[in-house]
Amino acid sequence: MLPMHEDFIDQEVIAEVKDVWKRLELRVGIFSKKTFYALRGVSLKVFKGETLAILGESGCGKTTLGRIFLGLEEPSRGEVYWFGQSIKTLSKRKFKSLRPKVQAVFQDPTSSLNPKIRIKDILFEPLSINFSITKEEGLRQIGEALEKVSLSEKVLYCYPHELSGGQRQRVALARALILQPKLLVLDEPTSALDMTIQKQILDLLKELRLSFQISYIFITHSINTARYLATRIAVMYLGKIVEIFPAQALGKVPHHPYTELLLSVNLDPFNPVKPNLSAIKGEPSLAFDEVKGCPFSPRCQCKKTNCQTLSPELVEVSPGHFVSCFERI
Amino acid sequence: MEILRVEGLTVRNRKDSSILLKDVSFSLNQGEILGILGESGSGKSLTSLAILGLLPQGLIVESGAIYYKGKNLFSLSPKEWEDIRGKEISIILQDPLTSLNPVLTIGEQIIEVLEAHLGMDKRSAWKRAIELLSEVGIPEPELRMKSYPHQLSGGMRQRAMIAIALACDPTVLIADEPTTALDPTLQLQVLELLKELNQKRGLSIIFITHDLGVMRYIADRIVVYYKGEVIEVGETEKVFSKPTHSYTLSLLLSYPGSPLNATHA
Repeated sequence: MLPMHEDFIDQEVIAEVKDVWKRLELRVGIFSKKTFYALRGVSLKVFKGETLAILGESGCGKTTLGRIFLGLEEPSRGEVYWFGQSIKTLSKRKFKSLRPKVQAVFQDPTSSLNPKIRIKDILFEPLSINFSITKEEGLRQIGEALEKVSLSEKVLYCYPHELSGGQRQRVALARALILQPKLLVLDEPTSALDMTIQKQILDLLKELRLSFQISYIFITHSINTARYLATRIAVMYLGKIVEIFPAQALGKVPHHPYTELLLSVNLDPFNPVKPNLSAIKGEPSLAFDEVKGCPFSPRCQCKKTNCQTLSPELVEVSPGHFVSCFERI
Repeated sequence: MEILRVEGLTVRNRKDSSILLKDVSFSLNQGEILGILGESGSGKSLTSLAILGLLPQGLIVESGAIYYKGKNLFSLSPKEWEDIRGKEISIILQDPLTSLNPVLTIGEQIIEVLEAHLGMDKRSAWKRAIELLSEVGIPEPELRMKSYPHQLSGGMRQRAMIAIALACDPTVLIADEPTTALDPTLQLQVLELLKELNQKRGLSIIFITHDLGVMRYIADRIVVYYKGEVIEVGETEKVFSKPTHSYTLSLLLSYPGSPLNATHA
């Protein structure tokens, strides 16, 4: 089973997707459309108290997966479970009572905060929608939420544009935390921020997870941030999860060829090794057609003959380490 | 040998008389890759616009000079400046989709540069454009000449941008965050292409980025910006192992998992 990273991570499943497919239609001309699958049979569990990083390049379906976990998008096929219950089967009332428990923070706080209302109202809105609550109690909780994200109460009467990027992202975080969620989906929450601010937000997230025992789904394209924040990493390629492993195993176990590619092109400023350019073959493409075999096989260095015809399953090769590659099984 | 020198450059916003660049000085040597590191709004891109004489309206150069091969660029006439801009000093920008013209083919856009600056005729410009595309590693260049920007992938588009920038065989290339919008595998390929051009053609490059890993990989020397001022200049290795300014150190500490600690400065 999964290794224990910190004592409070346990086997309780907070959220789960089972064999989720998502079909999208893309306009290619004025009249013609092309369909492609953003997700192709993804199954993933999120355990209590963990930070699960979903790592992948643009177009791999990581954001779609995040939105499906949030219940913002319905899968074309497959089931989504919150706290053990399939959200499709939930009554409207039950769904509404669980909604505050699963919250989101998006990449760009400039576009995810309403520019026309003050921070106070931005933070009060989730409370008034989800709970019947008095103004005084609301203000008290808003104060608490601001304290959690280390913002002073001075910002309450500001509009989003009056704040700096880092402050805005803290407001977005406070808005999610104010509902005391059990699961937070963080979709590239730091990539729109400056370097020094990024680090502050990452450290804040680390701290919040430990003190409030929230689970995170952390969507990122950066191996370094995944390594820094995550307890478990799932690597996606063209709508499929190709590998899942405990974060501390990164770079220390035989990885999926795609994970190895990502590692080999990662530029570490403090450990400058010559990256292996010959490992890069081709470019990622959209999965327009039902891809036969392993999705990574056209770019893979070490493919076998059956890679183009058979699709490898995720197999547990060592405790907590799942790989979908014929070479690694 | 020094090829470009920025000396005491101060730029002011005429509207609110705020100072955007304050006494910026650095030099670029022949065949060198000079990195400019800084956070957003620190004046990195503004410096590159000043070098090209493309400062937005309302911004004025209050004092200072930019010397290119010993000539002060600010003393040039608009016509003389035009001969240098795009021909001897060219630029590639972050997002090739916005800097390429969407209604012209890649070929037309390269030929445009060749005709305007070098006065080439259509036929030889076409041949030269194909050479350029294959130099930057675009497969099937004849076919790609007739492609529109949206038909190319992100990495190919950035290569096409580089081909346009190289069309007149410039001596200085300013690369303003050219790989920020790219995936890591493509990023590395574009960086490697720039390194290769630097070595093969002796192209001097000013490389602007906020990415520490990219900076360490590509730059020979680094200029660090903070709020419109240059606060540190040094060899890449040295800046990364022994930063002298406390702001540089805080930048390096912001890297997740940085081995440095607060006592390094």
